[in-house]
Amino acid sequence: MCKSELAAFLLLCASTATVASQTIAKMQLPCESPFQVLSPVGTQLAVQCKGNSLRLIDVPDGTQQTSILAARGVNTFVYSPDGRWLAVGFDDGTVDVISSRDKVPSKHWQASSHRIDELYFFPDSKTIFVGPVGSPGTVWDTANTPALRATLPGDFGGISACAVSSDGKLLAAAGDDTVVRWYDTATWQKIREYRGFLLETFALKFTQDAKQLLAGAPTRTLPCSTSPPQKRLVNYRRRLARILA
Amino acid sequence: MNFSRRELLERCAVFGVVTLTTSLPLSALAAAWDDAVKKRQPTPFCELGPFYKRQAPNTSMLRAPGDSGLPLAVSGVVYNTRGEVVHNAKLEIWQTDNSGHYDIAGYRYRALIEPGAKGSYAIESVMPGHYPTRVCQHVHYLVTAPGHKPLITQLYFATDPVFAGDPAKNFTRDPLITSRELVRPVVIKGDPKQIIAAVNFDLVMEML
Repeated sequence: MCKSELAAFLLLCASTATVASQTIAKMQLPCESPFQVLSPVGTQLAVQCKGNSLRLIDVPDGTQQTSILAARGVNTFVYSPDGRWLAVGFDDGTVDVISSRDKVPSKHWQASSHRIDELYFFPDSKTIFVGPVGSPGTVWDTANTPALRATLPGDFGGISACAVSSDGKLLAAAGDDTVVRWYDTATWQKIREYRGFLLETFALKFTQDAKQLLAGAPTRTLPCSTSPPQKRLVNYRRRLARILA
Repeated sequence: MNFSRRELLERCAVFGVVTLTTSLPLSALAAAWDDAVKKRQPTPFCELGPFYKRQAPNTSMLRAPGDSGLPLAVSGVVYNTRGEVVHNAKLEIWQTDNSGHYDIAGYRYRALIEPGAKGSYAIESVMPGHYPTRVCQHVHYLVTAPGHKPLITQLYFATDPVFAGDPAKNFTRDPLITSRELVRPVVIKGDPKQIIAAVNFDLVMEML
């Protein structure tokens, strides 16, 4: 099961590599930029400028839509799966969810007193996981005024990676404490944890059927564990973790 | 002449040096004064980083014979914010070697220490190296104890060239350093054949 999923990932990489060899558009970046994210629908590019400001530019014409000043320090950002929203995490522990295309007012709230390191949208594009550095991860409903739905504490520290199953029913979170925990998103009860890793997990991804969870580990392995209730774990000694990111 | 804090308070009150505007007895005031003096601020948080590894060996000797780098001795006591020694703490300590490399495969320069009843700990190591994605030399700490919030922090060295001799002014050159307090003075000890950099780093945990 897991091997076939791996093969699918490799195929995806191979096809991506083929596509990447064809230039679709050429754009001038608006600044010196260490990091960019393309929206899921491919029509917008979020560009983090040196100095930690953020600019959203249309693809392929390069028109700048929005600019977020650097004063609060942009630390992380992610598009929602439907491409309508961009969530931005700041050094001061605040989060903005801004519309990527409509003139809809953005949402802004203080999610933590610590820097926001991780953001992850659920498949509904309205629920978002927020991971502050050194603090428990939290889940927020942003459909209206952002509201806290759950807090996911570990033994210590924060969350290093997060994944949600495609049906939105399972959330897996890897902690700084090296433990991976599964949660039922209907009740927010922890339904399983795996303490076999000695080092931090830095990437997680559910298979499409949510029966298995792939984890990127710094030991250059790709552990694949079954979701509850089974507890099988397979290690793939390949440098494949990068494709999960 | 040495006076206890209570005796000093009594004499000051008698001679009019201190005016008491409260109805509390002197003994209660002295105890409150004692408590206020003993209270400690929690050690500032400094992030865990990606190189923590579970199950570090129980040892205080992190360096091995022949390891390169300036020998480093770090010692301290684990307290809580009331100023009491934390008897049952566990310290996990990790750092790079002198070249700036973390041991991911094994447990070099990683240790678990249980300070015991006196709350004191000491490690023998080498001065950690610099590595490209971090500005300053540092040692990581994770301190846990029943009834206390886990303490995650890092120790920095006032001798680090990054601070250019003035850590009070320049500690923000490393954006991860949250407090000047984490940059500790270094005392050079030993003899010309074997000098050692010695650092004191007390840790203060918050109670649950």
